[in-house]
Amino acid sequence: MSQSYKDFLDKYKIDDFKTSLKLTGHTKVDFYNDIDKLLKSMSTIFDKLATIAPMRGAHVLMAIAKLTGPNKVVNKTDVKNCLNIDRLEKIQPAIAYLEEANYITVEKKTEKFHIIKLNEENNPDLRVFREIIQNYWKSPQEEVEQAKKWSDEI
Amino acid sequence: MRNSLKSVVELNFEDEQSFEDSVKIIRTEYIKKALKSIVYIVVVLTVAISYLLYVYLPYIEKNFITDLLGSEGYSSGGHLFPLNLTLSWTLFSTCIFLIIYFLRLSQVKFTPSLIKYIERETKHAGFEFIRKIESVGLFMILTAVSIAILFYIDTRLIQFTDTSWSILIQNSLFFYLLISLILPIIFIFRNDKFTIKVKDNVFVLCNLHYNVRKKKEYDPNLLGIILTSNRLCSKFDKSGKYIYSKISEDRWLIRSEPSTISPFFHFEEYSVPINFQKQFLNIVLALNEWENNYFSILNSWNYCFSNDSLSYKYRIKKDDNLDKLTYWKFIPH
Repeated sequence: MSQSYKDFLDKYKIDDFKTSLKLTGHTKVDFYNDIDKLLKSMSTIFDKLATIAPMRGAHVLMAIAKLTGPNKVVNKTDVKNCLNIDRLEKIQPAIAYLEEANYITVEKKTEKFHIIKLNEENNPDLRVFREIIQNYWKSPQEEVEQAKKWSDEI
Repeated sequence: MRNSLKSVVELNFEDEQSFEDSVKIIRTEYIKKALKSIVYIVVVLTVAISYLLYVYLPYIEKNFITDLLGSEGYSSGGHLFPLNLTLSWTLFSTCIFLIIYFLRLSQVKFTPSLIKYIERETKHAGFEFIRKIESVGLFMILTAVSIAILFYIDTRLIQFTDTSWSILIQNSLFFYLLISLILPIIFIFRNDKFTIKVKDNVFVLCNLHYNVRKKKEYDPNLLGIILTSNRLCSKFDKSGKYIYSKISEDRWLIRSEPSTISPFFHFEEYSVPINFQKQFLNIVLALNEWENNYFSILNSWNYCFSNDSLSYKYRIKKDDNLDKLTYWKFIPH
């Protein structure tokens, strides 16, 4: 299947209400793979759009989404490491912008320790964004590890 | 922030103001570098012209090339210096090489601060940014050999006669002298590059896309870095072309135009300073995928051919369409 939402609807006749959707055996696996492909494409689109944008805001938002978890505390250094950036100052303008735009919340525990969270309450779309990012997006830190591992292979 | 020891400025592209300041610094450094190159060219030309005026003006009808090619050889000429031929050729070739080298250097837009910035970004990703200058080394080796030969001719340890062997050696020597000058000049344009070594025989070339002319409005794409991988495979390789297209599609890499002169595929990526590391990692991981997929196909082909006689012997039924086997092996990550 080409990575198109329309092709996906056509393939399984989802928008044809006369035909019932039957998913058994191979078709269920195909159905899952096709959805997986669509979500992966969306993750790539997020990543590429973040690269095109002149500021780091989009990548910082993706890093926060990636690191967010039920029992996880995310701070600025975690974001910096996730994006494989050498200095914290490089992400400060982006964090300030995202906080101002209400996409994230920054809780200042001490002068240096700031907890960052996605503001899913005010932006419900960020929930599906987080799910896609956590499942499909490869952070720069992971990319560096993969590249280094390959580079060190003889 | 200026580093007082090396006078290299730390560039910052994080916001509009820092970007504009950094671009200004790069522009100033580039103009300085270009002016320096022009001064060097003028110095080289002055030395060359002074030598020509001093040595050859009174004897304009005789020069070192006629000396070299003349069948009567070295003995007939009048010379001001005992090592006239050696000195003349060394000066001539060095001047030509240096002028072209500095002209090329004045066109290269990488400046010390920008090199430092890319070096730091690359190092943080775990790789090394290298400036390859192969032309100078090659020129020195070839010229050293030329000097040694011409020295023997000047000191009459080698003498030419009218025999066919002597003429052949003379012509060969003349050809060698030309090559010793032309080859390093070709290297200036082809091999003197900024590269990032990824692993053995795998590297990424860096070229700068930068308009030096001043622009009033803010343009984040004013300064672009074009990343090009080492050659992958021939454009006539069908399975290579398929894998190349698939990886380029998946990773949103720049697709080479079909009209490009190079007969090989290369991965290409465009970056601006702020996303340099991300785009660099994209091309590195593309190369990783290439190695995993293309070489596994080659191995399967080798396996196929090595088992050909075996399959014939035991009449193993094989797939008629080998192309299917080739494409089938490719699994995108």
